[in-house]
Amino acid sequence: MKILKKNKEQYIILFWIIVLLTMWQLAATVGGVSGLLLPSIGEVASTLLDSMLHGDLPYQIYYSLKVILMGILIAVFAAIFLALASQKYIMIAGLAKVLSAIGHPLPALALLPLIIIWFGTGDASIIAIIVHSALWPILINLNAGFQAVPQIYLDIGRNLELSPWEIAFEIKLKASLPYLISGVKIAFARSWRALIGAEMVFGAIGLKGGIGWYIFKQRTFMNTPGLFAGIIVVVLIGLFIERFLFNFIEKKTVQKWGQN
Amino acid sequence: MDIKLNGVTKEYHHEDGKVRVLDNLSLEVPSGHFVSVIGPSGCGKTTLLKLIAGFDHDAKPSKDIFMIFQDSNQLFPWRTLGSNLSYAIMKTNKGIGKEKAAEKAKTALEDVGLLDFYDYYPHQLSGGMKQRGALARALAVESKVLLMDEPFSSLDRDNKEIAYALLLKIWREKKLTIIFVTHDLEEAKKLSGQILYFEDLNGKIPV
Ligand SMILES: Nc1ncnc2c1ncn2[C@@H]1O[C@H](COP(=O)(O)OP(=O)(O)OP(=O)(O)O)[C@@H](O)[C@H]1O
Ligand SMILES: [Mg+2]
Repeated sequence: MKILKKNKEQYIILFWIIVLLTMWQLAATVGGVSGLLLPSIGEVASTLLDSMLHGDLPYQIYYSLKVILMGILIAVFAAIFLALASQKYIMIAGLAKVLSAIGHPLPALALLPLIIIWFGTGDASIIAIIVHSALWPILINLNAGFQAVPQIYLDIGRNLELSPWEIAFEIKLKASLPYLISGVKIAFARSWRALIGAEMVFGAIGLKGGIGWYIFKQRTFMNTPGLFAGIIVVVLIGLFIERFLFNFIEKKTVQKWGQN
Repeated sequence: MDIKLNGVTKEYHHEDGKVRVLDNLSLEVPSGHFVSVIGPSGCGKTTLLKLIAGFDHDAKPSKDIFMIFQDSNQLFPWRTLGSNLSYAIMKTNKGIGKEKAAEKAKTALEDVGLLDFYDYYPHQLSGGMKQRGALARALAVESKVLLMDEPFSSLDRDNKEIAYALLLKIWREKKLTIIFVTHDLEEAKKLSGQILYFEDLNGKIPV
């Protein structure tokens, strides 16, 4: 019954994707919408293929993924450090509270001019933007996870004569993994948006910039098929990471442990 | 290992003042004995066991006195049954090798009839199996005293009988000291010749 329902849902999703693509194609070909505003699917596909084979797009995708991975990793380690330190020192807990109250609601793009003044327009700035977008949701979730660690695991840990260090990494961190993962999901969603935006503002940092810069450049050349190609890449990568990568990580950890 | 409490007192702080749960409580369990402590819900049985285990703030628990909780989710869910045991073994026997630890874990699981479930995660086991797994962990770390906090109360009748027989067999074979708390007189009678009433141990029972 449940499986049937899920199958049905997939067909409905597929149906709407096909409808939307058909409408797009019809509007672009027989609908009389100018190709400058709405290129056909074929044009977009061939531009995308061309950018992938002969252009900088593969490098730009690689660059964007590389910096977002670095930024999120830094944020994860910083959040773990801060959350653990908050458990031990009440002063740090207070500091973390104040900082995340300030940082969490602050959009990364609002910080952009300041970050440019502080770090210039290189990789460091892009990574700073990502860390800012990722750190707060991860830290807030991890703190909530630490609060929710069942007392029984902590008691067993002490009964097994674990050191505070082992209790932190074996018990607190693992018991909080569902919280950590949902924090990283939010962090990815936020930093992916911020990254694309920042890349447009920064221009060709790194060697050739990232996906945001690819999109921005298409606009300067009025290359609408290229714009669409860039948007599609952004959507597909975002979808892939949210749907497949996170699902995979959950399947290998919390789902396997029966923890969600 | 003897367990001896001499006039201990334990208070919890609530918004509306203190509640004295253990009031001048004394208890003596000689090494190798199996003692049941019986008392109604809320009288302080868990509090008593946690105190003996050394879970109070500045006390230092050791693996020699091991607590088995009522909650059937006391194995770490992120480790398989086998890994729960070998992790416990490695942490309590510094320097023991991985293989030796796995071997000891297998022996302990065999003792409780769970060897076939070595690679199972706790959530894949039934409540009774999880409790036997928790017992196996205590055996694996070679605890001398088991503090059992109504560990079988959520099991059905058949599984309870299996668990009782197993526990008694292990108690005899390993010469353990066991303090078993329960609110079920029948259970207490089945397990041990020595039944203590909580109210007799305690100076005063809070209402
Ligand atoms: N952490 C705590 N903080 C405050 N009061 C507590 C705490 N733990 C227990 N108490 C109180 O101490 C009393 C004894 O609790 P305890 O859990 O030891 O009872 P118990 O005999 O184990 O009950 P049960 O048979 O229901 O498990 C209860 O009145 C309870 O409200
Ligand atoms: Mg209790």
